Amino acid sequence: MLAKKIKNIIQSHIILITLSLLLLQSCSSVRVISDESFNKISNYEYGQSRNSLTDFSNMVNSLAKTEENRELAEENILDFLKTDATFASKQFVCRELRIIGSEKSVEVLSEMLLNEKTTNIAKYALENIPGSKVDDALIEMLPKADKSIQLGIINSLATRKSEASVPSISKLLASSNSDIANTAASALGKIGNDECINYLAPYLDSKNNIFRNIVLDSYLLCADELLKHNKREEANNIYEVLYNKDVPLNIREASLIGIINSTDDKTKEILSRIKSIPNELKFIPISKIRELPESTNLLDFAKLLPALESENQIQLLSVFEDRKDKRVKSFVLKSLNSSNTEVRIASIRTIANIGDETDIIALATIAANETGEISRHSRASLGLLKGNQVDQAILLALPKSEGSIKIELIRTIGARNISSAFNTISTYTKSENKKIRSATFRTLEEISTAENVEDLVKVLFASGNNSDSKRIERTISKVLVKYPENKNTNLLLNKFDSTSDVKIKSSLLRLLGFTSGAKILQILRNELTNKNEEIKIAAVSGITNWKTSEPLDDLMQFLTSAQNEKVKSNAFKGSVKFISMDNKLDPNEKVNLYKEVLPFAKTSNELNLILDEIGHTDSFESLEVIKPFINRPDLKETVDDCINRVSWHLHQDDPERVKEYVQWFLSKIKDERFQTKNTHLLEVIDRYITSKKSN
Amino acid sequence: MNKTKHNRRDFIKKTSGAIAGLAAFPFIIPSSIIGKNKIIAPSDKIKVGCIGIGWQGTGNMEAFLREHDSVVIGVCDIDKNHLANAKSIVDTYYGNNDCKTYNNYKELLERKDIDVISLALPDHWHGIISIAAAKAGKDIFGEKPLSHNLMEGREICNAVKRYGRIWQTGSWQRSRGNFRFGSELVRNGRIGKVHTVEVGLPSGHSDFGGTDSITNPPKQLDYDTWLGPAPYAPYASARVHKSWRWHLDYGGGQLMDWIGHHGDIAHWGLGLDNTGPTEISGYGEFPKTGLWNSATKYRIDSKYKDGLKMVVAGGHSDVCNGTSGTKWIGDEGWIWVSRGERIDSSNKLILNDTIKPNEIHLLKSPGHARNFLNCVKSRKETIAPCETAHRSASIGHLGQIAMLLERKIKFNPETEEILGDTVASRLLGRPMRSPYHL
Repeated sequence: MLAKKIKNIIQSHIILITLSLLLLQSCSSVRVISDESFNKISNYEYGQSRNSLTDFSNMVNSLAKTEENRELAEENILDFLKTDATFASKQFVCRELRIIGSEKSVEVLSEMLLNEKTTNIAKYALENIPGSKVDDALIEMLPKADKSIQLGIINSLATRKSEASVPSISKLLASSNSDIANTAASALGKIGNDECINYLAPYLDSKNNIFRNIVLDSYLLCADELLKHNKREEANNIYEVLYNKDVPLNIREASLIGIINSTDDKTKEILSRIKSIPNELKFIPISKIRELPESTNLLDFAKLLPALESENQIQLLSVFEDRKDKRVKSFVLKSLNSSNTEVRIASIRTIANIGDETDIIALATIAANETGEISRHSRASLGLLKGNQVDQAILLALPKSEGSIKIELIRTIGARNISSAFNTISTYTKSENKKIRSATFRTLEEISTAENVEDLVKVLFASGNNSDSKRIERTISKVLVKYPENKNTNLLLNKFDSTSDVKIKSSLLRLLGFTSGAKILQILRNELTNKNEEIKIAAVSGITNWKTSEPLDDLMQFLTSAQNEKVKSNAFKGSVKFISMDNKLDPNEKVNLYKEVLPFAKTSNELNLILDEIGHTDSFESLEVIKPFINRPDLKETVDDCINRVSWHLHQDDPERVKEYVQWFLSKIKDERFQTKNTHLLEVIDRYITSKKSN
Repeated sequence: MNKTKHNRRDFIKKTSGAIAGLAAFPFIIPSSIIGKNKIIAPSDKIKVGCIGIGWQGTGNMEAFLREHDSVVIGVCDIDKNHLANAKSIVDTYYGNNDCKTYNNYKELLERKDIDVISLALPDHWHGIISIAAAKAGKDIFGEKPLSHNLMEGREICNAVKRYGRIWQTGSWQRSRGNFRFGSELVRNGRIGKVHTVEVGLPSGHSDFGGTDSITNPPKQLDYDTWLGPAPYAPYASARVHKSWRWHLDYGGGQLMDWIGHHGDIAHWGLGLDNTGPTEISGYGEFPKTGLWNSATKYRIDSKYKDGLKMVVAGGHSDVCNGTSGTKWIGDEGWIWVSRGERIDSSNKLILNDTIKPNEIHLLKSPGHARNFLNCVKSRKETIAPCETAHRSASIGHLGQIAMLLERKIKFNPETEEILGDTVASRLLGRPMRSPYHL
């Protein structure tokens, strides 16, 4: 108690002293920021409410909208900085000065800059204030400041690009303090004028590696500055000097970039460098080809290709890929035969951009005869070959080709989505070669449109074996989803009515599930009671394919009565899907339905499926349902996710109740990952409870 | 000529001839470092050093572990727990004890045998270490947003360009099919001329744990270095790991955390990777209490050259129907893309379209880390290069300034200057705590 009283007395004294000082100061400037506003922030300490700071900041922002008020606000803040307000409050007002301060702030901030305790908060404000007075003050303070403060001053002058400071900073290059010397060298690079070049030059061969690297970098920056001002020759001289010195590789690379940037005839320079420089540097001029004007003929570069090392070939080929200059094609084609896999891939990729119809067979042959990455890239390039003649050329080549090349061409028709090829391609559904048929079905999936459904159904009727039926059925289902048109629904319905073939009828039932309409749904429902088991199974699949949750009740009813395990499994999956997609159900209703379905889950997969959905249902009942499964290793990930996700989502609704659940699960599930994740959740819940109470 | 140079990029050469070399000089490679269907000698792999191996950094590091032609050989963090955890993951993966650990990033960058750096740091450290890595001649996989502020972003791009480095940003949505396809549909005019793009981002602050209470920093964390160039502030656990993103001294709230994803995709679909808005206005709700001070609800309206409008918002149900994602709106319909492979359109039929060979094709990435490693070899630009990341981040940086000052700002995307507003211009960069500098 006594300590508290003493503290209160001290605090009130501090406030009084602060107020008195402010009153004194108020004599010297007009107040646009009230004493009350300053009083509110003067005792601010880190960790306290920022309410008053935010209000203060908003006020300053508002005042700064007129020059007169901005000036006065600045003066008021400067007065405040002279009081014994807390460090944290002064740091805060310096943030404001950073935005609204002018040269009028220099005196007060300079004094603070030289004080080790306040130097950084003063730097924060001063560095941003425009005007030569700031530079002059910083330069004047430089020799007076302690070493640690000097570093900050040098950096501020560098950020300000203060040319007036160059002579003062340059003196520090010879400092025995390595931090000062390094910072000075770096600063001269950032300022980067002619004078800096002269000051840096004597240190280019310094024995101190760290310092030397900084000097070299700064020297490069100075050259860049020359180039920016169109002093190409001077810049080029510097880059050449550095390039020809015994310098680290990174500096050499940067110098080479500079040389090319500062040369008038870049094409010639790049060409000559690629020919003459060591392999490990060639990537620089090679990459620079990308920057040459679009009209540049790259043929001379392509001529270098065969003689380059493989890593440089890859780099040059990637340039050709980007530049799309068809004139280099003959050289790229030769690289297709390289013994190096990565060079071949780079060539194949390039052909996609510079090739034409004459390259179809070459790429198809590679795709067919090779495996892995090479084959994959060849297929991708076939799909991307540009030009108006390519599609036509593929169609012309198709009948003449055989075996694996024919398969590649069929695939390519799909990749390029050549829908006009539908009739041509359809003929291969009757091919005797299984692989050709398989590629054909896949391609038909890609290129078929709503107009082709009738023809596809004809193929379905004609398909001789089970696997082909399944493939064509899949193709039709994809088209039905892509193009949901009534005419195709009617078409399927008519076919369904007119056929008595059980296999075909079953296929059509499954396909009808991808369409829509009350009539269709009723047909599917009716067929659930069909005596023929195959048709019944197909009807369940058809209903499961349905786009809305409307048939949920049918499936659930069916689930309880069905005997066939396969049918049950389908009905189970369909029921889970429909419960999850039914937006009319609230979370509790959903969980109750899941609970009804849950006993029918027989396998790990089925349990994972339904528990995952339960884990996405924000109900306390979800946490109850999951409880019996916490010790099943095959369900662990799903169960853990369910607990964590549901608890997170519910913790703001009823934190105490969620907390009880989480604590219960933590007492039962002991592995580290679960404990870490949910202990963190408990902490968050506790914080939430505390914050609710305090509000 | 410096002899060390022969040890650099030799890996590419060796990689190229690896299969033949193996036949001539058989030797035993631990099975754990034999990639899928490809055998590359450990010495020929791309050597990776990881700086910042907390939450995101560990995930990125693991991506490099999984690639057949990269090997993680060094990890660096100023939190000893992170460091020990990362070393354990790497050593367990390779079945050895070879992964070196560092507290000081400069020591890791000095290693001549490291080719590639993976960076995953709080935003306020992005500028300094990215530039240092580029200057050290390393190729870089960095995180989004590219920088803490616009000026630092420009400096990073300049350094990357000056040293001829390959840069990949962790804007991994570009490597996913639905985002590419959506962007390709837009680029190829399937929704006509685009007049508006909506970028829906999350709102609020996620609670990653930690409290506002001021305490001594934990022993394992070098807190002063963690603060680095940011203004001094005492330790509080809600200030550091993960939570830093909610404080403007270190991150930029949900806006900056996500702009490099959905904002980046917005630019991609419009071919605006190398430019930015010309007019930006914004409004945000900034919390007045608690440690975190970034906007919890925000809306930024921007205009681009040619009149295109971009709306970026978190917590506004009228933007992207209140969901996260990117929605381009053209005079013939709209397309929306988001995570979870989601894509939707006012015209469902166009979602069945194929991008024809003669149309505009965007780069099909084989995976974000894979694309980066391929580009390290081919020296081709990655799918999310530095300039692109800078432009994506700049939408957020400028929006942040407009929100803080509560006024419209005009911006020249070519010179990257704010026009006619000297106060706003001061917020393009931020002074660094001494002795830190770019």
